[in-house]
Amino acid sequence: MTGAHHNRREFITSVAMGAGASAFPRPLVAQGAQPRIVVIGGGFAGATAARFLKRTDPRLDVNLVEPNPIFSACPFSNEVIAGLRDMRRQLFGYDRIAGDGVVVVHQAATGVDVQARTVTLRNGAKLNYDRLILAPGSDPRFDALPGYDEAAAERMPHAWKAGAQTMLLRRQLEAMDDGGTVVMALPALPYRCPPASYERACLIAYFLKTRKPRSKLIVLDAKDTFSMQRLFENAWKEFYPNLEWVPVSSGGNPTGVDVAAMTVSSDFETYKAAVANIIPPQRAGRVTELAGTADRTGWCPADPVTFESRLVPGIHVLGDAAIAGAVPKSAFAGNAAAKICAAAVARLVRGEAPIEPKFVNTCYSLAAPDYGFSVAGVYQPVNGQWLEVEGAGGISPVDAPRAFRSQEAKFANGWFNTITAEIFG
Amino acid sequence: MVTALQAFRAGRRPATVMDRIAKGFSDDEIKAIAAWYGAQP
Repeated sequence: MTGAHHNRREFITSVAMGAGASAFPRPLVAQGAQPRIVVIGGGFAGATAARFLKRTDPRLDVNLVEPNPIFSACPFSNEVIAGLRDMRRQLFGYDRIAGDGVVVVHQAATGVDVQARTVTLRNGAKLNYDRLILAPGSDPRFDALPGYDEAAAERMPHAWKAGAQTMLLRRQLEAMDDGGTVVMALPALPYRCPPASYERACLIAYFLKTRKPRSKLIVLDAKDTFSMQRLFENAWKEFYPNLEWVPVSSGGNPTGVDVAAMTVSSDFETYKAAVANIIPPQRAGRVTELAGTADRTGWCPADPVTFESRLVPGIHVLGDAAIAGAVPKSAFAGNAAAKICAAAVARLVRGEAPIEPKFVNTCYSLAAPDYGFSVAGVYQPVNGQWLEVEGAGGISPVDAPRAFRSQEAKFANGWFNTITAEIFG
Repeated sequence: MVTALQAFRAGRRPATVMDRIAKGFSDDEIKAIAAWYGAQP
């Protein structure tokens, strides 16, 4: 849910104080033109934005540019890796979105001309836009961890984009001899859905415990602290003596890989891996570089009310690619941000002021089948930044009974079914 | 629904996550949320 709205007077006050960065352009509708919106990226954020734009104002001409005809969802892909779920449950098509009147273009965007306001596609076609929405997610940085490039990812999968990488890691785990060591490498913040890396550690440890009981998992981490840490650590203690977490202060910082030797190095040691899962540092998806919306960090600063880029007017950045203050890079947050952005863009093209939003994020993690917990937050813009509303949100109780964990695991499934039905169903 | 959300917020209604979420919203916002959901088919 995107939550309640402040009233218009409050918003105008905040604009007067400088919080609303966008200048309102001339209304396109009043001039009789059909406003053209191009959305690049058909994941949780982009597909939501396209569909909700059309729902908010059916007169809008909405193009959704996404090269893949089938979307592979990341949430719950850790269960696929652990052999607990069929990959087919992660796959979604765009037919229903097209049925709502969105023009779905299965092409890669190869260029953005911010002066002419056009997007060039791989087949040479050009799309004009009045407003462009970028939701390309995150890309692995193949220049960040020595030895880990695109070819290395075929031997040591990141599986941080669902699809072929997910299945590669699953097959490697299945083929591994009992007694082998699995090594995971985790990057520093920011990156896509950090709790999912600890969920993955749990579910790989679950796989090993149940299928390869003489094997172990070593998790090398560039961090000392992380979200829901006590909940994860308690689960490790209770279920997974085969899991060893090496935080940065114990020398766990991953410093490089050697694909030929199948080793992963940290500050202090080199580990021989039967299977290695390397989650590399990341940045906003590549199209943000073409559009010039990424800053030196590799991510895209954006206004919290409209998600308009702070670097390139007329372009909005959603989801993992955006720098959104306290908001995590999650599917839930991408979906919520997309609804806010769609509402704002529909108003902006009519020359109306956008409404100040407030929204919720909840991330569920599974530490074992039927054992889930969550972190939640409520967010609102304060002085041009997304901040968490104080006194709200937080993690599941640390001392909750087993039935509570079981219920949250069911709600995690319910959340996935609901959000994917809303976007793709 | 307003009553339910207010009870979540006050911790009077059993919850896993709704208590944490409801704490982020004022009475007016809770009314707006309830009105929106009430208007859905």
